[in-house]
Amino acid sequence: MNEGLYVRNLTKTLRGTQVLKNLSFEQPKGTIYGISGDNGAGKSTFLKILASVLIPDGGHVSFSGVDLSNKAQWRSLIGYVPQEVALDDRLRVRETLAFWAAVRGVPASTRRAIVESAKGDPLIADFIDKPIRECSGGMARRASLVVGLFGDPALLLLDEPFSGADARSRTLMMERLQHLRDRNRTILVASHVETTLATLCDRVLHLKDGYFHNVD
Amino acid sequence: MERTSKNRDGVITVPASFSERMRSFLAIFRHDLRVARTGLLVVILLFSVLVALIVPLFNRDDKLDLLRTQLNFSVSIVDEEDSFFGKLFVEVVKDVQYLDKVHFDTFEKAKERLDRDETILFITLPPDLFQQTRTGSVKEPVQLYLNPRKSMEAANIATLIRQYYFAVNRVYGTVFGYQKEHEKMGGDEDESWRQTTKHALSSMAAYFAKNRFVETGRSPGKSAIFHAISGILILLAFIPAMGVLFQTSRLRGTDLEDRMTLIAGRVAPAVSRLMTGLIWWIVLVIPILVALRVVGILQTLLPIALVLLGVYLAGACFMLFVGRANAPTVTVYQVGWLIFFALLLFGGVFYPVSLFPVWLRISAHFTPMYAPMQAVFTALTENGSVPRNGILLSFWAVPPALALAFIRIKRKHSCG
Repeated sequence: MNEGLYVRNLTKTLRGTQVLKNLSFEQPKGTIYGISGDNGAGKSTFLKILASVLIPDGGHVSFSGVDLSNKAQWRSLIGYVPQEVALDDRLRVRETLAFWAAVRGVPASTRRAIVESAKGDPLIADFIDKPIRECSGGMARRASLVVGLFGDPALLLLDEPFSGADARSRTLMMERLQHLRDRNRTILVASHVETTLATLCDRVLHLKDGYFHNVD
Repeated sequence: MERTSKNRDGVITVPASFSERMRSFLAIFRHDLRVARTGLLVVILLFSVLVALIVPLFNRDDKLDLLRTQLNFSVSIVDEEDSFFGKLFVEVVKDVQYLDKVHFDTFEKAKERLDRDETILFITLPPDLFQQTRTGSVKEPVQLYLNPRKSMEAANIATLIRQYYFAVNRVYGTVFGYQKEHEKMGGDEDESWRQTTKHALSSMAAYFAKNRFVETGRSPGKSAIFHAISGILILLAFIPAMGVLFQTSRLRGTDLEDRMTLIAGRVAPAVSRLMTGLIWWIVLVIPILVALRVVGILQTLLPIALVLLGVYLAGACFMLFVGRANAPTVTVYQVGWLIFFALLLFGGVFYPVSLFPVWLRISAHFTPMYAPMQAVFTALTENGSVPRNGILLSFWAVPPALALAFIRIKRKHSCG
């Protein structure tokens, strides 16, 4: 194991229902793993725990030697793309990039450089001056992914990243994710569309009744 | 591994140093301001026009005097016999604070004044009143003629006058022995009765001056206009707190909040909302304070501004707490507005708390808006000055509200 993602006996109960029951798995660095499952299976809950948005009831999670409980360090390692687009739809795409870079504490000169380089990014170059509210579902998804990639996170958590995306958007996003894997980034993708996961991922885990199935 | 804000390529991932945190906070604050920009500009424009229209109206001495005038009233006394009692009566009642002016008129003149609304009532003293009071046998009573166009005010003053006469009887009884002693010493019965009557009226007038017959807060002793302005100021200082509630509740539990929390934590967005509310507070409150300064009602703005700041901070912190309640957004809004109006009602903003039943009146004194309302009212009537304890009392609700907000923000059902 090359100090990748390590999850052991993870449990979580929400509103009286045990959503995750002693989940355990390991993911090496530089891989893409998929998590499939029906709606309500607990995929988002699992990713939110890994994103440190929710606190688990029990279990142990670490990545690259950093424990999940070490919140500040953990958050410096991860990138999280939530299920919703979760961007202010009044802002243009380039303003969105500048805003989230500023929220990360990036100085103004660097923010300008980020926006400049984004003009050449195939994921968003076509619509960088469009307000988010005028973007199609696929465009908004691509913008959301780019925001999630800020800071070049070592562990990338994606919750239904292809939802509402057209074929071209899906292809562009998958190419970007594969490129990141080649750069030794670790990626975990949750989706209920197993065919997309099968194409993209090195391994797919099926979440059902609080457990992972099909674990190799 | 040491805590760092940059990954191995030197790219900032989450703000960690002070300057990074400040940049992060300012970005959120600027964004919140940008969202509120249109509303702020509209309100600034609207208030500018309103202030420009209203200030010249009140910026005249007579109008200002009207505002400053307490709710005092004029009465006429008709004493055709020009009796000792009538003169004495006028002499002692002219210092009573509720009576602005006492006219000594004929019946026709008094009626004329009443018709012109110069007085709210007139009193006719029977020719043998002095004799009646000495013997205690009333043949012809004192008559009160009330102004039908000011029936409420006239009824209040009539009640006072009736209390006055009741008091005369009581005091007369207590000083009867004094009259006997005076008669023994001087031998002049008429003079002894005069002295006794004068003493009785003076004693009773002294009690009037001390408000002994009117419960504090139940008399129209101050300008109702100032009460209305105080209420408006408290309302405007509190309204930005409702904006804090909307923003907090709208974002609670959303993916956008999760995304923000992971990068900036929970405190920076909450502080940004408080600061945005503060900008709203400045836009809503300061122009009115400046207008009151321009027309001369306030000589200084700082004390009243501090009091109103306390109103906003207490309200905003409490709404941060309410806004994070684990309930549907609509329910949170409804509860927030209910709390808003309840606090204003029990603070005496809509009605003076003196109108409440005693138990409710006492309870209202411990609600967060009561002390600020009293302080703002004092400031308006005292050229802007507020006692230091008045300012401090206006802030009493801020620490507990802040503690509630902080506990809720940092609550451990989710990472913060």
